[in-house]
Amino acid sequence: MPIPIDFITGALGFLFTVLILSYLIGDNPLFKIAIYLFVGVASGYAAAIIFWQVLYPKLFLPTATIIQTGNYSNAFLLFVPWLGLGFILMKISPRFAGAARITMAFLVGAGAAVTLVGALSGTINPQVMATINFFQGAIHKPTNELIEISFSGGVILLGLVTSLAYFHFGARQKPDGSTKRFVLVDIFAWIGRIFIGITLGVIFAGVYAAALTAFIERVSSLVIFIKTLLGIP
Amino acid sequence: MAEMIQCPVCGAENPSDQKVCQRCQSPLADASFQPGQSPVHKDTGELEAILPQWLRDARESAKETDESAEDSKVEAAKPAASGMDLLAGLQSQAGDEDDEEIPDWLASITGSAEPPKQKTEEPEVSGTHWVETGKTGDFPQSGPSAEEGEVPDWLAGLQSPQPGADEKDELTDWFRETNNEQESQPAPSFDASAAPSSAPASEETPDWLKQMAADAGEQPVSSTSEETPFGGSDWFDQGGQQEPAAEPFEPTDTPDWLKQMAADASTSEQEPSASDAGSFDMPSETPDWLSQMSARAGSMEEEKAPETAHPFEESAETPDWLKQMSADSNAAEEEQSSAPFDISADAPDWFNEMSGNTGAVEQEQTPASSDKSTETPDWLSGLGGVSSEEAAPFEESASAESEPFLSTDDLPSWLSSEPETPASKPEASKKVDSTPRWLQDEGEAKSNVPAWLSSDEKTAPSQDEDEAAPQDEISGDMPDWLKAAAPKSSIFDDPKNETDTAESQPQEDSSLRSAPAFSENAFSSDSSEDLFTEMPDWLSDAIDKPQSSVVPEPITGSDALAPDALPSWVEAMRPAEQNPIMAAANAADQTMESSGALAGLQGVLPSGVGFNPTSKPKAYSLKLNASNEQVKHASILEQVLAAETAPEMITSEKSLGASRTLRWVITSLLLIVTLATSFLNTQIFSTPVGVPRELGFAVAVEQAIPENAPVLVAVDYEAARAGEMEAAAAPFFDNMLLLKHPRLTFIASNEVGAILAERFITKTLVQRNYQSGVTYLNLGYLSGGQLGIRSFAQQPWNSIPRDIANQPAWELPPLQGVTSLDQFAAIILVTDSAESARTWVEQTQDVRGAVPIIVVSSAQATPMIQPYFDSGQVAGIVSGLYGGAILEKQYNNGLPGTARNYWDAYSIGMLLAVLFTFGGGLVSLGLGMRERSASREEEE
Repeated sequence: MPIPIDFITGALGFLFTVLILSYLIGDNPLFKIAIYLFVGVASGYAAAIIFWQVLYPKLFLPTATIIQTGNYSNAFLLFVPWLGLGFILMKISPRFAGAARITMAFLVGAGAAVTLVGALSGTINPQVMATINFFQGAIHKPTNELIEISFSGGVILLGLVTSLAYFHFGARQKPDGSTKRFVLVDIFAWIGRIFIGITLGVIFAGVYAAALTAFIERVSSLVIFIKTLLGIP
Repeated sequence: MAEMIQCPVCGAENPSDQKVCQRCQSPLADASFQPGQSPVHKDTGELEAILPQWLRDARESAKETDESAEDSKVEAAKPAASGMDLLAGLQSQAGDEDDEEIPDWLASITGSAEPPKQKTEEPEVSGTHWVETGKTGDFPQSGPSAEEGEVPDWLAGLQSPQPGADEKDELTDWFRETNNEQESQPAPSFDASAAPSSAPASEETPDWLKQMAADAGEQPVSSTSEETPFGGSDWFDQGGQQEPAAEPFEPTDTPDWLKQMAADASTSEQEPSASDAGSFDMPSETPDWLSQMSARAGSMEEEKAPETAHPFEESAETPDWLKQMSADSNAAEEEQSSAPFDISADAPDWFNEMSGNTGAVEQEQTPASSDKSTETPDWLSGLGGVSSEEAAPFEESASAESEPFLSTDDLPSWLSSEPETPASKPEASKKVDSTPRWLQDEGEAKSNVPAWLSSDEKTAPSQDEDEAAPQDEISGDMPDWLKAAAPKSSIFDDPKNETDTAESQPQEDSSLRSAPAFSENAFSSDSSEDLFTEMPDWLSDAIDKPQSSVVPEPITGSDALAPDALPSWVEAMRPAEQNPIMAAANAADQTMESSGALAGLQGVLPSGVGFNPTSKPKAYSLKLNASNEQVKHASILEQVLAAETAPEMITSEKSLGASRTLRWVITSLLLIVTLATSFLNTQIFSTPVGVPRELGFAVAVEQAIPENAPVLVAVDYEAARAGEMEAAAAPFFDNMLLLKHPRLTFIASNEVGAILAERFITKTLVQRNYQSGVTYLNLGYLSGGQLGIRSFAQQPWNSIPRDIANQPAWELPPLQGVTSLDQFAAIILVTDSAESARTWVEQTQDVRGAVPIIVVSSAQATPMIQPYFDSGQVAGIVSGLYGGAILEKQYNNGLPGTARNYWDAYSIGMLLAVLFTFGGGLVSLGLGMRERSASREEEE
């Protein structure tokens, strides 16, 4: 009788889950075994994914196609990846490791440019405009909506201003040598601490909720595996 | 307790037997020899190693000689047996066959030129003993066994042809003969007229003397060969017949000054010289020049030619002392008609002393010196034959030079017992005045002065001028060996003979007595002091020794080579032993040389003046001159630095054990609740009823998707979040697939996204029967991060041309009609990371157009994505299990029910979290209040 694959995967899942949960008693070999296996499997899987889903379809296969077909019109486009690959591989030899800087410089430069442009066009401008436009058209709305929008907008505005004020660390030096921020900035910073605290609390709640959900999922898988073994419906 | 001596350098006390300081290793003052200090017997055997090599070699040779001849009595007669004198070794060595190491002239002086055969013949009679000890009475003075062959030629020429007089070395014989005459004559006088006309020539005549004689003989012979008084002298004859081009004999041992003398004489040989007319016969062995002198002295009595009065033309290169001698003799010619060989004032002091003495005594003596010629050599018998007029210059010069010896008691016997001088020979003296006085007094060779001695007669100053000339100048022109030889004669003095001489001269002229030849103030000049202080110690020792008539017993070889009998003068030569003054001066520099010729010597290379600090270095204060303000600032800086470097106490968690317990408690509670709810499938807690706005917008967008429209699903979450993400996304996708049947295209922005997407579609949505490549397409991993997303947003077909199955993705049914991003009906982003959501939003902001983005996110990322929803960039958000539970209940009729299965456990877990958070807050508040109250109490 063949063993169902679900049973094997369930058993392995059960085993590694217990190994990971053994961290409750501290760092132990069981936990380390699970971690090492996870790292090893993840690395192998990533390497396989990179080869089969990046190098092969995007470099080797087109190159082979060009060679087979003899159509070298797009060969220049493949020359750049090959050149970058060669430079990166030169890191193996310390003598020629400097050549990899060309490729790395290109990647970092392009990545920085993309990130900067994406941040400006995708985060900063939209967020600023969203904050400004929050009150747009509210004056023409009914009073109750106006109050709601004003309150919500006011809280958002207050939270934004006070949170930014909290991260303003400029201060003047007094004659006695002590330093203290401007009073208004200090007040806003104090209010901003509340908003920042609430934000961090919400993030922590979300992290806790995510972790709790994962924990529940794992425990549920164990229960299901046990029920499957036991034949409990 | 032994006597202690103090170190002159460091002042440390050292035993008296120490030669170097035990503390500083500097030589002790007592160990050094002081100038003028009487030498004492010391055990210098330990210093044997530092003796010069030539001295050690000489001692070794002497030892061997002594051992070989120990049985013979001749060995006992060796004069070198002085235990105190290191020259004893030389003496002994001189008697050996090895004569090469000692120059002939030195050997002749020390009497070492004796052939061995003669030593055996005359063991006892040794003039060298007499020389070394300075006791004439200790030795038999009338040894007749001396052979002529042993006498150097030049001395042989001076001696009378008395047999046995030439047995010993030339000086010894000469002195011995002098003593003999002294004994025989009641009135000691130095008779210069007793020219040694018949001294046998010796084969051992030093070469340099031979050469001198040869050179000197050439000069007169060339001009007045027929008048040469030294007709019997072969070398004079030869010299007279030979041309100057005759091959000279250049001895290697000849001193340079003598060579120069010889050269001068040879250069002046062209000048006629009447002095060359020496005619008395001399033995063939006798040095020619001495023979010439003797013969000339004899011939001068008979002939007195004016032309011979200046026989020696002074050469321009003639040594000064010879010039002075000639000048003196010329001056004496005018006043003195006799004394043909008058010793001039330029002669060495000891010569002058001899002549003066003889001149003084001469007046009382009968000039019949020939009577004694049988006992004394002729040349000695001729001494003293100076008249009173002739003696006048002698008296002055002698009295001025003989002070050290001139207490009458100290008057050397050999001087006081000079043989009688012949009668005055005025004619001859005029001719040979240029010769030394001791040669002038030779009666038989009055005019037979060698050319090299008489060559300066013409230019010699007058006698009066010479009298005024200081004796220092005279002595300064003399060679050193003559200077050294002058005081040597003092050791031959015999006080006893002096007294005898004094007694034997009752009729001595009072005038002469008032002006003795050796007066006490004779050496009052500085030159005389130098002469005496520079006298070698062994000579000083000889003077200071009490004279005894006891003949010193023969020195054995063992005594002669006693290592501890290092002579004081040799010891004083040692560089290591400095006088206290030098030692103190060089106290700071006691560096011992380690290499080179000075190896092993200490302090021989003293440092220059100023090298060593002469005073204590000045002490400089290291204290800073800081004002009060500077000190205050420094203290502030010090406090600041101290505060910065002071470790800050970190309060450790005292509740570590409680935290572990709390951790176990919380874990236990969660495990129990989860297990219980999962195992029991409880539905205690109802699902949320209210629909959040972002969730509502997400459902609205999902419901607005056209039928069978392409939908891009971006998966970017970790496998650990799969349970949450699948619980949140499953109801959303189930509703969408159920209602709109969209063509799903999955793409992953991380490595595990593709497999998680495949797992999600094949397991969670298995009920919808979606098939890969038909109704959905998994493009796989999109590499490059933001760049990849940007590239995919611009050219999706170019970024990922193939799916996960390596098939042309853009030709498959899910992507039919889609060439760009804005052609998708919606973009659903399933992610657990706010960064991933932000990247997708940012990079597709200007590309996607109006395509809505619905974000199915984890609960931990929702707060960070919420602003994008508020800004309108994200159309809707499904947040975690909470969102999935709402969708599952509100929009999907409870299917697939995953959220519900987790909800009780999730609700209890969240409740526990609230409780623990609230409880923890309360506990923290209570602890804070207690600490504050405690601090207040402490402050109060």
